[in-house]
Amino acid sequence: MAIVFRTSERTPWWRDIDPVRPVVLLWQRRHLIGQLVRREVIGRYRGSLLGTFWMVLLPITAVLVYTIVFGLILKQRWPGIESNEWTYPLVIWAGLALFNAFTEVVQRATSVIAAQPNLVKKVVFPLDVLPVMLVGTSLVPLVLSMLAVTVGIVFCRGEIPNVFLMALTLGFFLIWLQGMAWFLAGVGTFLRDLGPMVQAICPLVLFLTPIFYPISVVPVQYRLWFWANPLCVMVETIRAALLHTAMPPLWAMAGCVCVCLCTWQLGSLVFIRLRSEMADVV
Amino acid sequence: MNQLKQQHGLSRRPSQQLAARLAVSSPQYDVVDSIALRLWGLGKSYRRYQRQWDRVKQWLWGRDRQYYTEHWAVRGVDLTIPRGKTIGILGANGSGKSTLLQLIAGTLTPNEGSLQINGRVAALLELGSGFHPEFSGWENVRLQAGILGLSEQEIDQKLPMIAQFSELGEALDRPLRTYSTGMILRLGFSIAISVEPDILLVDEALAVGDMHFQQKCMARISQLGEMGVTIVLVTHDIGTTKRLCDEAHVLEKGRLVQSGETEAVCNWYVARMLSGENVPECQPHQPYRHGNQQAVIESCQLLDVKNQPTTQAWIGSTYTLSVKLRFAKDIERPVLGFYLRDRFGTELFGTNTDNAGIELSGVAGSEATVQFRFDMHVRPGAYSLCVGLVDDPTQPVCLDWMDDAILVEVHDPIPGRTVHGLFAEEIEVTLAE
Repeated sequence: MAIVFRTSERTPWWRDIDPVRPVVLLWQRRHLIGQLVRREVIGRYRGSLLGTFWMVLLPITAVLVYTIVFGLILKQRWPGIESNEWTYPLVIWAGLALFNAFTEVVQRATSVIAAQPNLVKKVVFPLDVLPVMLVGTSLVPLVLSMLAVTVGIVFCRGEIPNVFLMALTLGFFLIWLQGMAWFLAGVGTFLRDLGPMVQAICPLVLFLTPIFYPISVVPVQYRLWFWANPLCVMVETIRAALLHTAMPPLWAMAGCVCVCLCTWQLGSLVFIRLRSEMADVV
Repeated sequence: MNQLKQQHGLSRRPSQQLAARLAVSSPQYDVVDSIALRLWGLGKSYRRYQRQWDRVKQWLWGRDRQYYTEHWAVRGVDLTIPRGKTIGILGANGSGKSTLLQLIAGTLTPNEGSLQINGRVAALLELGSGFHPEFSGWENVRLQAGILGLSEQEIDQKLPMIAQFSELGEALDRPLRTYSTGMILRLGFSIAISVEPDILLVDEALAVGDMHFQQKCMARISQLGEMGVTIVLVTHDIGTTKRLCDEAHVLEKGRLVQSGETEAVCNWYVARMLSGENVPECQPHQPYRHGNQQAVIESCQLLDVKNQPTTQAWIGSTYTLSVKLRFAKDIERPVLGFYLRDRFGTELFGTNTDNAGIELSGVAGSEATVQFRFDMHVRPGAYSLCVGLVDDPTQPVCLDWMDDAILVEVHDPIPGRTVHGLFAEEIEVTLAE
């Protein structure tokens, strides 16, 4: 028999520091998360004629547009590597896929709790699953894009990218993104200004992250600031794995790993502490 | 101030003592096992901020100052609910019933006090609220059952049962947006009930849906009650409470003001609703009386055909309810009426002097005796007669009201007969040629 005890007393916040506990909980709730992600992914295109096929179709049309604009019309070439008109759009696509997943998650995270008042007030629901659902949903196009880019690079350059390094980077990217999602979902429920704030910052992130250009074109005195951005390190690492170019400096990668793990812990901590109050404001 | 806070905190903080007590008493399982729910000084407050910026200020400088006004939705509720009982929680709108239920369900966290729940809780707070309109009934069942905490295997196992109980048949293959409100409710109830809870929380949500399904829901709830599920029912409906509940509690402005045996508490609650503040203490098994006493019911008796007072009645015989009144003040339009109620509190029949076209003259100091004559055609069992004297039947002001004025036991003169239904009408049955 399950005995539940609830009290108004709050445990001190440092008791909730435990990076492993979210992992255990996520594993226990994997079926529920699966159901929710399925609902999001399928539900988005439900009722349309092509259905989930849109998920594949949209990135393909996007990359076709990049190829035509950048490769065929502007005749852009990626600096530092031998390339043809197909390589440049593929390389951009790899960076953009990460950025798209990032923007989708952070923008939706700020309102994900407020958008589901029924789950907050009417049923006993593990709310920490909702931000996980967002990350899980964004994972689908991300992985599809990465597969397409890898296949494309193999065809264009005739050499196989470092798939292991790509997967590892994606893993840390997800840890970082999940921490961000928890943090923004927790704070955004109470501070509704966070939504527009994030929306304002996102385009800035797009151009301050080396997505349309390699970091080698950035003047040396500004590079430190770029390496402080974990998204920049991860985009550069993915590209290095794809094209076998120079890796980011080791200290930047180590710092990025630290930032990822800290974000994970901070995000889950903030969410856990704010969760009990959410029903009061939604 | 600080000292006061500490004292206050101590009195509302039984958790540590409780934890110690639990640890000591845990080998004796009957101690915990006989109790389903326990609330200690439970309270929930909401902070009302005038402006959004006040919330930010409170975060930043909250230790020293207060930028909000506090509103207590529920406060100081102490309650012990034994396992297997069905309890009703009564209260006007905004009295904190739903908040209390949400606190028990776990969707809200208390600001004060603590609660202990022994067993799995299912809450019927709002049915069908988490459905996705574009998905089929089946897909929604899976999703919703997952949200309610069922595992994949449990869902597979329960799917046929849910489908059968909802009676939706082939409609389950269609997207939910094609469903009617009633169909969505049916599906919601079927899923919620499939969780097989130890403790079931029911809000007034069930007041919708067609008659057939409503009855099915009620039957299922009482069936669960008989199976030993503890049920907490929140409702306005006195009839439902009397029919289903073992004990009842009344909430008023977030505080528990009355607890006890259902019949007595329900009568007290009705009196409170009708007459306001000045209602005497609620006592079980006593005729329940209220009113402003400007005119009083001196006595009432049930007389048999020989004009002898009785409490035993026989089906088919004629009885007279004789009520003696005395007017202390001038009453403009006094009306006297009565009801016969069964043991569930259902009003079976009754009438009043206004209906019968009799005008009582309510002159101060005068007396009157009114007699109601009727044949007893109800099935055997225990009944009560409720007598009430009011002024102006269009806008009744209660002068004197007695619930359970007379308790009657009805017997069947024909031994071994079964009476079908509530009434024992004389029905002629013949075989047509």
